[in-house]
Amino acid sequence: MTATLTRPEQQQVSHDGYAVVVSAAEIRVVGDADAAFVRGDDDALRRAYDQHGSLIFTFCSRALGPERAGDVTQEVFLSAWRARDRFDPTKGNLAAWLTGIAKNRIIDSVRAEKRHSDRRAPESAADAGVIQADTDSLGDKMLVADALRTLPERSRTVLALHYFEDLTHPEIADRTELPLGTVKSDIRRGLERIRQHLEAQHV
Amino acid sequence: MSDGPHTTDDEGRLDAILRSLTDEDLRLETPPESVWAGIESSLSAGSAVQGESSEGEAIAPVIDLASRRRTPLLVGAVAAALLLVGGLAVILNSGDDDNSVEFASAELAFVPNNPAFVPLGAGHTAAVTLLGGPDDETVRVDSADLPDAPDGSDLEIWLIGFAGDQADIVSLGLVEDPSAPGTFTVPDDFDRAAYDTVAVDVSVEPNDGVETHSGMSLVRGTLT
Repeated sequence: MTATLTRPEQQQVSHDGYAVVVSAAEIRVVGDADAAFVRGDDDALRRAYDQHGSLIFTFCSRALGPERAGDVTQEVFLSAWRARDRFDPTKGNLAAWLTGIAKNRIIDSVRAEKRHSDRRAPESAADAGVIQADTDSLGDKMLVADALRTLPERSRTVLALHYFEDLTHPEIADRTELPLGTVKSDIRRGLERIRQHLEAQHV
Repeated sequence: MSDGPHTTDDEGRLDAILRSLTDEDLRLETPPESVWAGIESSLSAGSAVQGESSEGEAIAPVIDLASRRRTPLLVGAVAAALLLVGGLAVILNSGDDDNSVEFASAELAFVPNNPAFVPLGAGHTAAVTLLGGPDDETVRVDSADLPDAPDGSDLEIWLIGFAGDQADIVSLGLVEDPSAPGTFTVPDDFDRAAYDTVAVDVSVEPNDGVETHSGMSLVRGTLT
């Protein structure tokens, strides 16, 4: 077999002095949990639940209360599992996708409850908009918190000092004894990571 | 996901969400056991889902953050919990002769059906160890069964740091002999603490004067 030594078409952008050759979605070694989920591997649903069950349950509990949270969490994982061929791990991560499904289920549940308790008043467009906006906003917060938990420790520390303690970049550099450039790139990269974590939630 | 990227691309909005996070937002509730049991029983009627509720292996991020303040919480408890999930924190072994510590190792293999790999790598392997010395880190190739580089090309060994959907890549050098052990120094500016996972990659590089990775990998493995 002859290898054809032609460089494939790809994006090459400079990133902190290193060339990023291809996106991680292409470069990542196959066999990670998100891909296993799409393939429907034997224990993939259990692994997804172990990894994201608390996130989804917490979201449901905050939106609907603890009593209904369990049922809706079940629905989210069941419908995600049944629709797993629609999840594309190259376009976003499983946490975001599950959160997107949870948003829809929560909205359905809030509406059903409202209809049940207030049978005579049909839902107004304004009501629907408020339910949608509240649920979206809470889901985004849950995902941002989730993204923070998945960041490397140093990025997480730097972001926490910046956003929770309102320290400036030089103050963070002083506090952590990291070079200022490292602080800046950690924040920039951390934000980028969080932004990516939020993608693919629409189902 | 048919709607594509959504509105949080807006930087100001992400900024606002981050600033608005409270302790409550950072706290995770643990679902009662009945939740998984319900999922399992719903599925058992249809296609079976295997996999047990193995508490020991579960890596659910169940962290009670209630009583802590935010910053120490983020740098402390959460950080500790996350070390279970990944990273290179496990010191596998302590070296003695040369004052170096074995941080992690990797088995490099060809990955089929991945556009980043060329068929030349199929069936080839290598084993590497990441060592930390007093001054710098090195990647030691313990054994290698790599193909000969085609005429007009070289084999090159790389470190790839993965952080979310981003990957940074840095060259460690050319592989002189495709079947011989060797040692490569990790450049000082590659900070593996900045990544979730780090992989070692061997690629075939055409002698075309382009220094970046060719995108043609032969074998790769994640350091654990």
